[in-house]
Amino acid sequence: MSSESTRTGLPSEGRQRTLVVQRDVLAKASADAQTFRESLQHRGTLVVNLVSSPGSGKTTLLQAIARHWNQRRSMAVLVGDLETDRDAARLSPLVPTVQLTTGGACHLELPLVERGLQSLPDHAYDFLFIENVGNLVCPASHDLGEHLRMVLISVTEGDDKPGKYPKMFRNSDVLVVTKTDLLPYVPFDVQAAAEDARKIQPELSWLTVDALHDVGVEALCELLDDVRTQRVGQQA
Amino acid sequence: MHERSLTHALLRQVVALVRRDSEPEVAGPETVRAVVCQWGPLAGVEPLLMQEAFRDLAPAYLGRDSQAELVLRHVPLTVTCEACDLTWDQLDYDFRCRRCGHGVKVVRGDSLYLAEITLAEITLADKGDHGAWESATSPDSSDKVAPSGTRGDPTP
Repeated sequence: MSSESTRTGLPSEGRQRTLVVQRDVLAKASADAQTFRESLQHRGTLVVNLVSSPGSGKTTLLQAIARHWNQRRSMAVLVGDLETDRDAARLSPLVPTVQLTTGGACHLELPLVERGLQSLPDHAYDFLFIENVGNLVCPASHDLGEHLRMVLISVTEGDDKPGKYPKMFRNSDVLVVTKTDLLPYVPFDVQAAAEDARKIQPELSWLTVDALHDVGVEALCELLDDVRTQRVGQQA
Repeated sequence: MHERSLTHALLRQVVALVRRDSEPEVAGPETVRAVVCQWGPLAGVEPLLMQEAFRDLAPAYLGRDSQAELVLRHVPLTVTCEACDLTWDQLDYDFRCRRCGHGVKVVRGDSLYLAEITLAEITLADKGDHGAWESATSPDSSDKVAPSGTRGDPTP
């Protein structure tokens, strides 16, 4: 460091002091997320954050969940993408949906989610799904005020993903292996993927789904109902 | 690349802490000389990208002639088993207790921590009669920390 800045007129660097902080850089964001979580909980809404690689079937899974519940549960979706409203166009015929376009950002953050929620019809939804930007890295670090984080791996991606992206699996509650109708055609070991993920997060639940053909969707919806009862304290 | 997003959060916190700690007429964010952070294997941080983001964004928060450097100290991933009270530094990503198999809790190394801020110590005497240094931020922002996506945040 230079001894003195002539441009700023600051004195010699010899005299310095240290502020000891010891605080998580995302502490404020985490506190805001907790407030959001509690606020939705009071309204009877379970917030579910869906994370995965691009193309793993998040939107298709949400379509299948909406079809399965067929308005027996009230649900809404906030769907994040860098550009376009293509996912919202697929979901909005089924459930209230707001597209969140990040304009290049690789993940969603809470202010975007809060703004999206304000754009939804005012209603005490049973479930609010947040479809995060397809990315197994950055969304892992950002608490969106969800009660449940659900990570998807499609069988076409390979069963080695958990160990390659440990933070995402460490911070998730449920693993959903998707596109299982393609298992006869691709080398994907479901047990190996689940075991790899459960080394990283021993409390992780996991199940398999073929959302295109509504296989495994009922079990997933039962799990969501159970979590809602536990976390929000109400039966839908 | 979420290091930019983390750096925005870091710099907002630095500015808020410096303003809270210092008399505004004596010292402000322009006196920051070092921002020391701790990061571990599960912090989701790539140090080179973090340094690049800090160099790029620091002038918007700490003054365009900011001399602040970012110091990143690596810490190990430390876990503890609450079932058998064993604590150790983890070398892989198997989060089951090596003794009893129970799931373990991470106690260090899974986030980016702001540890310390080093400031050049300034007194009114240092400033002299006419020696006010160049303001780090625009005059109207002297009493507030820029919220995300607004003033002082060049890439919302």
